[in-house]
Amino acid sequence: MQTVLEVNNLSKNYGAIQAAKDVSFSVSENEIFALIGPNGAGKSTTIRMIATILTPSSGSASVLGHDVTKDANQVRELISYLPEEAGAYKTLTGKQYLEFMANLYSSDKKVIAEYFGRGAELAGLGERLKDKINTYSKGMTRKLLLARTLMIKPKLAILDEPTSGLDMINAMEIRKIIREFSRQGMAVLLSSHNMLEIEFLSDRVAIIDKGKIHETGTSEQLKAKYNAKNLEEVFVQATSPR
Amino acid sequence: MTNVVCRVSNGASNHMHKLLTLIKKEIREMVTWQVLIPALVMVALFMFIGNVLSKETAKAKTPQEVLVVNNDNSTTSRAMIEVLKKSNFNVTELGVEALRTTDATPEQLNKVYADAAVKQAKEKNISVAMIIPAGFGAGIDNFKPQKIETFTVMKNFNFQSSQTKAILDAAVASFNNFLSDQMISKKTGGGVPADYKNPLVRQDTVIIGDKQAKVSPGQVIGFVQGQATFVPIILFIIITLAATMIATAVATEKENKTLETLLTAPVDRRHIIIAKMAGASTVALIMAGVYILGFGYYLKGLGAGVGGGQLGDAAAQLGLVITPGGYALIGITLFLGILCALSMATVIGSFAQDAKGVQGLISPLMILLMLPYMLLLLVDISTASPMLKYLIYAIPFSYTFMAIQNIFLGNYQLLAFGIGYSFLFFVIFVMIAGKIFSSDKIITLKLSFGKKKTS
Repeated sequence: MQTVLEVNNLSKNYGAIQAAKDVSFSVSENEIFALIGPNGAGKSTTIRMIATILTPSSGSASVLGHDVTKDANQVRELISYLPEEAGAYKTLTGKQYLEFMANLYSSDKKVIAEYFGRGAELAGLGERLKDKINTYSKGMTRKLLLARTLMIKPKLAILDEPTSGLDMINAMEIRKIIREFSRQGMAVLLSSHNMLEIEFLSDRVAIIDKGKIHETGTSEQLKAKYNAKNLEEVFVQATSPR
Repeated sequence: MTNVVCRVSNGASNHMHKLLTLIKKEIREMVTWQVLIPALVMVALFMFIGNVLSKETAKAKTPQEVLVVNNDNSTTSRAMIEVLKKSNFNVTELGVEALRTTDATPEQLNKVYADAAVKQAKEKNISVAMIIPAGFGAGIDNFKPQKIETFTVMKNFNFQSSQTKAILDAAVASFNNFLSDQMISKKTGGGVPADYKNPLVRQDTVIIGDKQAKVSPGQVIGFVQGQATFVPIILFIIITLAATMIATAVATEKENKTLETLLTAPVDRRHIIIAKMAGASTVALIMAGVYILGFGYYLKGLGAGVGGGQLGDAAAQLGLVITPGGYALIGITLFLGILCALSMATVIGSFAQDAKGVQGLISPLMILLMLPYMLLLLVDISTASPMLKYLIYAIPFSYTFMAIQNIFLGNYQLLAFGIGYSFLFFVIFVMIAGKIFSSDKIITLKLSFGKKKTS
């Protein structure tokens, strides 16, 4: 399978603070790759560097051969990013928001209509799509944002804590959608501190803590290696000082 | 070759499509009821005040009421009252014969007449009453200054009460004029009083550059200031609106967490800045139009003409006429002033974490706008100290405030310099904004005046 994302020794410093240190991994098409770690581990920093928001201090990352620093514009054509604390324009309706975002990814009316149709279906908001976003609940807004992220069928979807703040039912729906899209060929890089969710959803994981990747592999491989019942136990063992 | 041309043209059309998408979104976000309602209320308020002022101004032109008690009844005092009637006063004469008693002292009688006059004035809603004392005419005939008592009934301390003062002053002035004319005529054996009162007559000539015209300097200054006042008002309104809108738009993107999504979309980051500036200036121009409409009603009510006084031929002789080319130059300097403010406000917005934070951060920009306006009102730049001159010239908005004056004075070199300087100022700040938006700084930059959060 084709490698969509290649990350090599990616680092980010904020003065003396090293938010990410020598992070390396790759993500292929059809694959869901998860970065797991506690708050402040460096997940979001790593993700933001790949999403072309932050400039790496050293190292490199490329999406289908395009460097995230040197070819940022081309990378943005290939990715779609859902931040952890994403918002939508409250004065727009759900429909207007999806149309606005579709128009940023294409100028072809047919393609725009296709994106919008897919987005409306994914959001599952029905008639509420005509209402202003400031009337939506948290779950509705998050579903709208996920729909916006996936409607364009990016080569690489970058999802930072996709089910953050959602109730169980909405979280289950979102996981289902992510899995379906991945099976259709999309590569997914996601981050979470909910290790049970990751264990269920992802194909491979990377355990990250204090800016460093400690382990990479499938959930089963890692559990076997550390003789652990779940990824939480793997995390504790993998990140404890030897 | 054809393929290359097609790709370039498709690329350009794609960019334009995305830019227009962003601009439409910005305008949609900025035109909200929170923005429209205050503007409409302001217009309604201006129209209402203008209407009220118009009615009050018309009222001021109607004959003013004055109550007179003529205790003298001489030819002089009767003629004086006739003069008052001809000077647009409605004179009510109060007869006091019935109040006179033989055993009362003059002071006691005066008190009786005064009380009667005030009572009558209050009953008839007349603000000014006067008592001409007995012996008034004889005193004037002997060239002795005479005293009259005046009573002003004040019901409030607003604009109307200053009108009352004006009525009293005008009435007394009218009396004085008549009496002094009479005295002069008598003393000089029938001489023309005006020749003795104003022996000096002036012939004014105003020179502007190499042009001159026989007109008073006061009229010229009034005319120019009338024209020049309107531009700063428009500039204030547009710039304040536009700068606040764009700084808030940038800060709100951060606050609502929509910025990161936008930055990862396949959109040129310069287009994000251009779209915000285009959206803010479009909405600001529309709002300025609305405010100016309302302000126009207000000025109409005041009876003031926006164009200032009429000089006719003198204005043309002095070159105090703005040609289409002149209007174009004013438009360019105004437009560049707006662009400078927008580019600065974009940078300012990048520092704010939320819309609330913008209010504090935008104040220096407002000061930068007010400073040249106030300084140019008070200071003659040609004789100002070098430091003050450089300060005024360093602020790009100064050139917009000086535009009309420079056109009238033929200072085209300064105009051209101002246009060039303002454009350079704008380019520098757009580059700074571009650098911020293209880097991590748009996410990490912050300046807040609140308590520091501990993580």
